[in-house]
Amino acid sequence: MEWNAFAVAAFGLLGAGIGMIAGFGPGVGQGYAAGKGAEAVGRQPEAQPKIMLTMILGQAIAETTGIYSLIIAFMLIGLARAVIG
Amino acid sequence: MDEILRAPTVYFNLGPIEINETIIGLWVISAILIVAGIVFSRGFKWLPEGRQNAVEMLVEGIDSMVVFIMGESRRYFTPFIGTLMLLILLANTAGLWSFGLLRPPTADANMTLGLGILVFITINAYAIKANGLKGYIKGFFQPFVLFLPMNLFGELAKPISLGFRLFGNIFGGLVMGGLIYQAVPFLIPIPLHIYFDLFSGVLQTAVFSILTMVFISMAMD
Repeated sequence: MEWNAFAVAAFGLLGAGIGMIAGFGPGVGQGYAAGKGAEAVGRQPEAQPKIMLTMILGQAIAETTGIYSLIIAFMLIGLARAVIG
Repeated sequence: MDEILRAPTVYFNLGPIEINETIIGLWVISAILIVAGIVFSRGFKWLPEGRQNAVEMLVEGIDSMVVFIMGESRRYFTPFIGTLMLLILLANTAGLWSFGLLRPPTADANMTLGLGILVFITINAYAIKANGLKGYIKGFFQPFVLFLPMNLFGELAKPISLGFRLFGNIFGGLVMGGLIYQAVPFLIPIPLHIYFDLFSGVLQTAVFSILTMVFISMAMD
């Protein structure tokens, strides 16, 4: 195994792992949104379906950046596989 | 891991174009939509009954959503948004209703970015049509001239973010489903498969459609 290919693959996989730290952001953001949603339901229980719908929609959009990091991680794993078969 | 992350298999070549699972899946979904459209719209009566009721409920639902988000004057967008929604809905959940035979077309970044390009062209074309060419170009200099690069970048970010959000969700669901089937092939995959394909697929359809409607209505005013 050539040292250069090994290094590229190793750092690629390392980058994939480190990149997934970005999963922290949507976790915090969506949890906060869920808390606000729960608060709103507590304040007005008959609006619960609408509140849940709004909350789910907002969370799906806030999840986007986490998904971006997942895609980059997949690409890096593919790169590591391509360099070292 | 290798077979989970594999690219869609190419079946044959039409000249320089490779026909792979994504394109075949898209053909199947288009055929289903066209046939369903023809079959369900035969024999419409003034007083709806049975099958026609369901179709009317569907169209009214999409219509009310378009009117709610875009305003009464933009009601003519219902066919476009409705078709887009049905296409993406069928494409996202294709792993479920095809009993595993079809790879969801939206799990291919080419397809989702193509949808993003479609929405991009729609947004800008209707913006030019609503504001005129001068108004459209002037819009890039709002609120003041130095905003031009940010506005341009924002315009580009819309289709890219739409495309990658959809692709990431569906392809990620595919990969995670594959991993779970590898690890625990016995009872646990069932609710997770349903979650990833059904819930996530429907939700991403709604997100894509609502964002499209919001972008179009924002660009047209």
